[in-house]
Amino acid sequence: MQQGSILAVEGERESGDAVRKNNITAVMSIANTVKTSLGPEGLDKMLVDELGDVTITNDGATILKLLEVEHPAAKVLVELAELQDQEIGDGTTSVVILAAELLKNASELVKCKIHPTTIISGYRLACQEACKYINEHLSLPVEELGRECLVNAAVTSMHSKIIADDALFFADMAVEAVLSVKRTNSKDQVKYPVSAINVLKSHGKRAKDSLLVKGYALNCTIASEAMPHVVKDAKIACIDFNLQKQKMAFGVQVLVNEPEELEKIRQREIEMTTEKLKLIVSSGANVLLTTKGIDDLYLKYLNKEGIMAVRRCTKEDLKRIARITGAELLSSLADLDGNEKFDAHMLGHAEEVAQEWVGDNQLILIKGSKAHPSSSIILRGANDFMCDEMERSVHDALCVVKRVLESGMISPGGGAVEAGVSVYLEKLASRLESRNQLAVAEFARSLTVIPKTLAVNAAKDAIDLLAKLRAFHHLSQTDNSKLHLKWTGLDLAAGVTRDNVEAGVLEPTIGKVKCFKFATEAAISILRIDEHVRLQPENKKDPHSYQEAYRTGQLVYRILFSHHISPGLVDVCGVVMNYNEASPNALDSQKDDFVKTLSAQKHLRLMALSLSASVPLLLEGPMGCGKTSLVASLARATGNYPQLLKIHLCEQTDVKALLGTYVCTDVPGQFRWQPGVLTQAVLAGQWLLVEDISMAPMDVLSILSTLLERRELHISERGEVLKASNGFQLFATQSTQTGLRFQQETTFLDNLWTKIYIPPIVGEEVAEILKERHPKLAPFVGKLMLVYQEFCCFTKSTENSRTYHARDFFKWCSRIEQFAHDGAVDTTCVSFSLVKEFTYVEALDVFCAAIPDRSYRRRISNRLGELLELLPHRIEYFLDIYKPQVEVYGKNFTFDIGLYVSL
Amino acid sequence: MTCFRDKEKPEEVRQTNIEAAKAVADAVRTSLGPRGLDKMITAPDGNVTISNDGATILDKMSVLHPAAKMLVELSHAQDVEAGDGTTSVVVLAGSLLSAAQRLLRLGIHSTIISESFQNAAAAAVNVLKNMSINVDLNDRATLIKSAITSLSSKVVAQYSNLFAPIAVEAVLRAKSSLNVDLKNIRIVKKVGGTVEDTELVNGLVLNQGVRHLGSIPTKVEKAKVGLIQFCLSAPKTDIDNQVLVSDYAAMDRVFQEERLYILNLCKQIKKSGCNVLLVQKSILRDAVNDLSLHILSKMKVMVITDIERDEVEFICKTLGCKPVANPSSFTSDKLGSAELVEEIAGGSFTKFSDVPNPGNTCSILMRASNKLVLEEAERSLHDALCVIRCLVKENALIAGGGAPEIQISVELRDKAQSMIGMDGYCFQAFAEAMEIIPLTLAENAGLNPISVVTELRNRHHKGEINAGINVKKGTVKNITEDNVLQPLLVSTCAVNLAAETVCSILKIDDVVDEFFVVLIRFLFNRLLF
Repeated sequence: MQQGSILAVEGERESGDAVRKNNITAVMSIANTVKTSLGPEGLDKMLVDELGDVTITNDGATILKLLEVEHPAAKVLVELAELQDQEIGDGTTSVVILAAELLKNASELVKCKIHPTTIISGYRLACQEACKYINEHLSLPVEELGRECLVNAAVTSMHSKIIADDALFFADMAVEAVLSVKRTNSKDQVKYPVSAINVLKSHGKRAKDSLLVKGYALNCTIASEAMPHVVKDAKIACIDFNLQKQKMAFGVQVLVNEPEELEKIRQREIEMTTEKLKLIVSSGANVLLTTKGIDDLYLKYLNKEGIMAVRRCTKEDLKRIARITGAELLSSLADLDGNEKFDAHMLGHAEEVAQEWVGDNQLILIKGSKAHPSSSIILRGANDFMCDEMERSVHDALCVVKRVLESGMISPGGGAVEAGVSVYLEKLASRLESRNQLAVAEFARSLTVIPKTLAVNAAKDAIDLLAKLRAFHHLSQTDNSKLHLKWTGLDLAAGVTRDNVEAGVLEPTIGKVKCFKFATEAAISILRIDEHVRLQPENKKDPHSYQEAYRTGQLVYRILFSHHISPGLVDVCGVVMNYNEASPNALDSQKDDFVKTLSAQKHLRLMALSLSASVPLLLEGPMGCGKTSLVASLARATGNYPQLLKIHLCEQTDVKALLGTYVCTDVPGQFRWQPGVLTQAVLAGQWLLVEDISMAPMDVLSILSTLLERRELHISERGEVLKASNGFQLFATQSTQTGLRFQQETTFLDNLWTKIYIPPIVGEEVAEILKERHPKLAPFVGKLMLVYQEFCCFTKSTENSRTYHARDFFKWCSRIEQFAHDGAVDTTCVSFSLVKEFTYVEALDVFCAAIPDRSYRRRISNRLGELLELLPHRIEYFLDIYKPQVEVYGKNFTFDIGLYVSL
Repeated sequence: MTCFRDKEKPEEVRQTNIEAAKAVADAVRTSLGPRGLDKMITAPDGNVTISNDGATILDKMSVLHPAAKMLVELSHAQDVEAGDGTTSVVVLAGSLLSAAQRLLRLGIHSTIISESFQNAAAAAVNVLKNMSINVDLNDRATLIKSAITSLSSKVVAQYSNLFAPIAVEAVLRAKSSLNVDLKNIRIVKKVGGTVEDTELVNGLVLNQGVRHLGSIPTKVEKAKVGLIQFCLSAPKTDIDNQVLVSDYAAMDRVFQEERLYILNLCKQIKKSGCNVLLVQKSILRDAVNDLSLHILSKMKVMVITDIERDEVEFICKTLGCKPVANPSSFTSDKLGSAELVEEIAGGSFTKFSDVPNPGNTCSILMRASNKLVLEEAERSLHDALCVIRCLVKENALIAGGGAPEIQISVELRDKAQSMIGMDGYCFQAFAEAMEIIPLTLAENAGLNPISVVTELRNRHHKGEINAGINVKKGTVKNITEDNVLQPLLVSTCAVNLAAETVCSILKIDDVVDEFFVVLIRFLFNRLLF
């Protein structure tokens, strides 16, 4: 049962500072990802998704959307960025950075024992004051500045984007486009729906060749080349039904007695739609747009009538076209009398509808629509990535212009607002008497992150610039005659401060205010969390629980089978498997020195389970974690060891080595087929262990893929397809770097393997294995491990060292034991000190001998000596003077050098 | 064999049960009160809940120990009964359990403890009743004040000035005699906009937009609303039957007939004066088709489809319409009415406002910028609704801010002095346990709990029965002046339920493990194969 007052839940609990720290770390990592893309000099990110699609962007919202964020707190932040994107369409990066900075500074306060609730109320207060201050002091009405300010705001938003060079050009375009879709809604509010601006992309030409079309650009082509390409004074019919042969509804069957009847019915089917078309044509329509298809049959008719028809337009497009031209989008021609009718008033009107070439594509342009004005932007760029990024940038600019127009207020950019508010809040904080003071001051400090990051990204001296900026703002707030200084912001190109209103670096005020509000809200909602309960997925129950053991069958076999298991079966860690009696030497299996530690048992059980299903197995794990030994042990246990074939793959591995090749025989000119390892294993039904599968070249992998998928081996040289015999089993190993769960680069075979992850062998299990294998070393295990661990720590801290694994340690130990075995020293009764020097020599051989860099080798050899508590002069001796003993004996001049290891 | 151990000694069982239950109380303690913090819970499927509502936290956090589960159910019971105070009831139970643990250590038998605790709870309820203030349901201001108190601890506390009047208005509208059926208050949640856009609709909000096709109107004034349960599409033949066409002229007729059939249905609808049509979802065939929508759009009838069957009752009650299952019975007396029906937010929902006689129902349209906030806002609003409902059930208010608990503690302690026997000890312990509420409130607000609680004791001893903690200002004062008020029912219910749960936990002296059941089942299976 539970101990103390720890609440047991099906999962993990984390509370207090731990969870806060965790959340803040997660948030910070998100913010750090986007930090470098803030501002005009911000850099881009290239994101590759799992399908291999590439996105290059510096738009915060896009980056975050494409990142697969898992941490819940980080998700809050991503949602926040999306929200800012929806509401404002710009400033997504700054909102994330600001929120993260607020949290970071809050965590500093929490460390100083200030209760989170105090910080929260302080932040709320600061945010309110900041917004008030911006609205009252740091904003300008648009009317004062006119159209130029709209252009400037758009330019500011595009400064950081890919199209910064042509910002003015695009800004003009954006302003024009937004102004053209102005409309007034039922509540007499003037709205500029950005969605009504159609943005099309077409790669080719330069960015500067992008154009704004007064009218609607439709990304479709006319249905037939024989139709007119240009129609002046167009009367447009928009329909939402199929112009195909009329089919009877489901449940209506056509049954005819006479063959002529059949023809008549076919004829009628065709005519019914023709009649509909005639209705439309007779109303005077000369352009026909439909969301569905048009049969070739009717295209002919339309051609004859000289009507321009476009099929498969999207419904969204047609709805807009219907709106701007005043047409009615019809889903049926039925009228209220039960007949079909098409009136002229259902037609829309435009001055011209024309199909034009834009780059490689043809577009339908509807110009001079009668009911409402409209505009489309066609973006041109060198490649698709560029076009995509341009679209996002233009979208941001459009949103900015819309916000400026709708809210009517603008503020200077370039960190001016943040610096101003920061200075103001700091003054406010010093006037507060409550504990809120600290939180407000932190809020003020957090705001400086924006100008700071801007400067850092532009490779300018952030500290210097920030100091200047703050000085100016302080002056403007204290000295009334210097009021104009409040517009001071950063000029990131030149690395100086300047009046950003004059320079035309402008942003919509509402964007800034919302950015502050959203960032504060997010920071608060993350700060409020003081406990995180992670419930375990239901299928992942505790592996040691009774229910789980019962479910996996482990328990059953333990209780009932271990006694009366038949000789043909064997119990591998709780899974009953066939024992391969047929294999040669099956019964006198070699001595298995594999030590079944608890985790090894777990892995063996997993492997045995997958083996019973004869699926191919891939063992993943860092070097030296015992992947090969596990397979060997399993093979021994099931009597397959004598037949276990092993092959190491490397980049140079040839398919021939695996499949086989023709070799010369003694008779000149005669060739014999020499099967390779893989072929042998497949034919004989043996076990095959392929090591380092990740190193294999493509052609080897492709051979393996058919084997994995269908248990078939294709030998192209002989044109043979071999079926794998019963008992054939494929294992593979793959090394991952220590600390990484899975290797990043994955091969296409990945899905075909059943993967088992083998973690590195750790502490106690190392000792357990050692004691089992080398009982003589048992008294020293503790000491040896200590030395080894210290040594690992030491080498890890130095540069250019290789990492050492448990395998090296085992090698060392086995050499020590070997040496003890030879009887040189009786390890059981003498003190460790006598063995030390021999141990040191072995350690030098195992750990240091392979290091090419002399000085470095010397360094770590010295350290090793220190760890083994050798006297300095003895270390010197072993490094410089000591030579291994050479013994020559016998007639054949057999000689041993150093320690002779019998294998 | 250790694994076959299925029984534990009674004391041990009791101790582990108490420990487990106390752990639950500890887990939610930090979210008590207006300055309580939130818990984040990641469900097995990856969904994240952020909340400080006791019932929600415990519900989502699947606890294992059976005694801990009892506390989770306790919080549920409080939720059902009073709807608020779900955190405090658990905290209170935890504190009472620690008290019981101390008493058990003194050697007092568990039955005596539980009996005395029941008595003490009854006495405590009396104390609460004595300090309560009667409230008039027509006094909106007071009702709003108590709703604000309940909202003040939530994420949406800053919007309490908006939510409180909504809650009061909604409950009073849905009130019938002495109870309120919260089902009559329909809450529609929509992501988008901000929390400030939340509103009480005098009428109905439907979760779906208008069917867009052709020029179907999206806004209708002086609406006559009809609700149909039949389909506006061509009838289908049974699977066994078929329509046979053997003549090309008949083909025309088939289409003609279909048009006429639907046209007739539509005309019938239009004739009754209906200009907003709700169509119940149909699984057998299309509830509407392109043709019928086209005709209805020509007739300027707004169409909303996919009405769920279980929504029908609420819609009828609100709009005063009757569901029509047969086209021929679609007459004007079946229609409901609304001043204005309009589609909002680009087709995500439809609002029926100014319904002349909306029965005992109303709808609340909740908006928030993201899902987490929206869900938390809904839970908070639910609490506020429950608070007002409590007041309808029992027209009495009591001071908040820990004042009632301290008052109970002071009075019961006095009473304990005059008692003889074990009961005296138990009453004393009960009185002390009650102090957990002000203690935690102060702790969560970042105040010094000891000084706050002692000051409270002192004030109450002097007779200031309404002295409580003003968490926001961090002071001890007469809490009724700051309008921190809660329904009496919440407090009495919490004391009663907590005491009862504690007693039942104390009475458990044996736990039988499921192990045997599993083993027997297993052996039985072996026999079968």
